[in-house]
This record gives sequence, C-alpha cells and structure tokens, in this order.
Amino acid sequence: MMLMVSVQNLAEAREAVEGNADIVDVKNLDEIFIGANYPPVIKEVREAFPKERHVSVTLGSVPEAVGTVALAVYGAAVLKATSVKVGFVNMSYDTALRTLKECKKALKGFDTKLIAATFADSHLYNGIDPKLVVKLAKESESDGILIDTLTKDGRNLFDFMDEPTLKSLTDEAKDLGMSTALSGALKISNFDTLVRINPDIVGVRGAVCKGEDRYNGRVDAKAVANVKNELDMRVEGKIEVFNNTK
Amino acid sequence: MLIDATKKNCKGVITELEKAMAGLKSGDNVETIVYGIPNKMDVYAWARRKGHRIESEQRDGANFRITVSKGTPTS
Repeated sequence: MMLMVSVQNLAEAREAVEGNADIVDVKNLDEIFIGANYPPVIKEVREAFPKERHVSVTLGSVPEAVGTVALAVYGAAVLKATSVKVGFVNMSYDTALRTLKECKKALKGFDTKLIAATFADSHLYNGIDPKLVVKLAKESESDGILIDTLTKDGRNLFDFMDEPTLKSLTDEAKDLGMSTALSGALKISNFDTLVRINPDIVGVRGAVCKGEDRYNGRVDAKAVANVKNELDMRVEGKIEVFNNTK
Repeated sequence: MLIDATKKNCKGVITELEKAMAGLKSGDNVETIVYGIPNKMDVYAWARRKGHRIESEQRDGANFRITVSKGTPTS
C-alpha cells in the first residue's frame, strides 16, 4: 500500500519525501473545491525528484469543458506527471465518460496514467454517483480510480461510504487491472478499516500537516513518517486489523 | 511461474495474477510472493471470486509465498 501526500509546493513536497511518502500529489487548495496547481509549480516538484518517485497531478473537480480538460491532462503529461487525476461532480455520466475518453486520447504516447475520480459526498453537491467510478474508468480505459471527498468540515470518506461498499469497488477495479486509491480527510484512526479494504494507494493531507490543519498547516516530514509507520505496522500485521486472516 | 509482487507498484498483485492465469489451463499453478497481510487477503479473496484454489502458503516476515491452482471456468 502506497502513501500519497498532497502538497501545494516544492517545500511541502520535500517534507513529504523526507517522511518517506511514496507519491507526492500536487494540487491547489485555493481553487474552488480542489483545483490544479500552476505548471511552474508542478514542473519544479517533478524536476526535484528522480523519475522513480511518483509525482501525481490533481485537476480536482473539472468543468464541463471536454477540450479544456483534455488539454490540461496533456499539460500534466508534458510535465512528466506519473499520473493525472480527473474528478467529476456536477456532470452527467455521458459527459464525464466523453471527457475521460478525450483525456485518454490526449495521453497517447506519454507514460502518464489517467485516473478517474469521483467524490463520496457528491450527493451533497447534486453530483454524479461516486459508485460509478469503476464503470467510468472501465469504459474510458482509464488506468485507475480514486474516491475522494469534497467536504472538508471534519467529516471524511467513511462518513459517506461504508467499508463493504468501498471494498467491493476496490476489488472490482483491481480485477479489471486498475490501480485503486482512497482519500478524503483520512486519519490514523481510519487505518484499520483502510488496510482491510486494501487500496493500492492511500491519500492524506490534513493528517500529515502541522496541527492537522490541511489549509493553514504545512506538510511536516515527521508527521508523514509517523503516518507511514502506522500504515506499515498494520500492513505487516504488527497491529492486527483482521479477525480472520484466511 | 513465480510472480514477485513485493515491489511496490500502483497496480497490485491481482493485476499480475489475472494476467498470469489467462495463459494457464485448469489445474496449473502460479506462485506469488506478496508483501503484507492485506495483499495476502486480497489473493485469497480473489481466488475465491474466480474459482481458483490456494494450494499452500509460507510466511517469511511480512512476505507471503502463496501457490494458487487455476480453477475450472464456470461459464
């Protein structure tokens, strides 16, 4: 299970890597919901680390503008992002699918992977059913899925989707050969459940920021190392999370 | 056939096992080494879903060496 830490700039990316994060995910918290960061910031972070260190790019919840989104995805590929995440809220299934298909075309010839994202709390924003993420990814031939949240009021992923639902979606995506990622205000207290679900990637930000403040805090290497250790202890069985291991 | 899935990768062991099984016939075995209990559990759950059988399991620290026998397709 890989630990993905959301960062806003190079200084935070360095803290994340020092804390042994597997993936640094560059995003911009100043834009509505979650948005993309500026190309020079992404370029700076990408160039600061060797290719083996995954640097992903989040586009956040994208607008209903297929060509614009495809061009943004192309930009992420030119910047040599390991993956680019395209999320959907207020959009019909058909438009979301068309967007992902155009994004996939835009990535032809690049190594950058396409990740389809939905939001577990999408219903609060009259958005697309998050459970459609696997279908969306499959039909668009995306490389992976992410389920995240938009609400940043203290509630998190598990306030909106339960363990059996997330496990089922994760297993379905894995059977289709996709990478799977879960995120959404996750804390160490959620790690037992997360490890039972076993996504390929767990995304955090608030949990690794000073004061656990995702907006005003800054990513802290010691907090990243602590979160990574808590995750690894559960994966290795040093902290038991399964009732029956057969 | 041995699949060493201990190296971290965005796409986990199930993707590799699916690929490997596609080229095998019923009763053939594939061995995999996975890191961590959740990945081991994934292999067991995947085998159940797909009608394969777990033949053996050996633990070495946090790594598990698991032999899976390909089942007979049900459809």
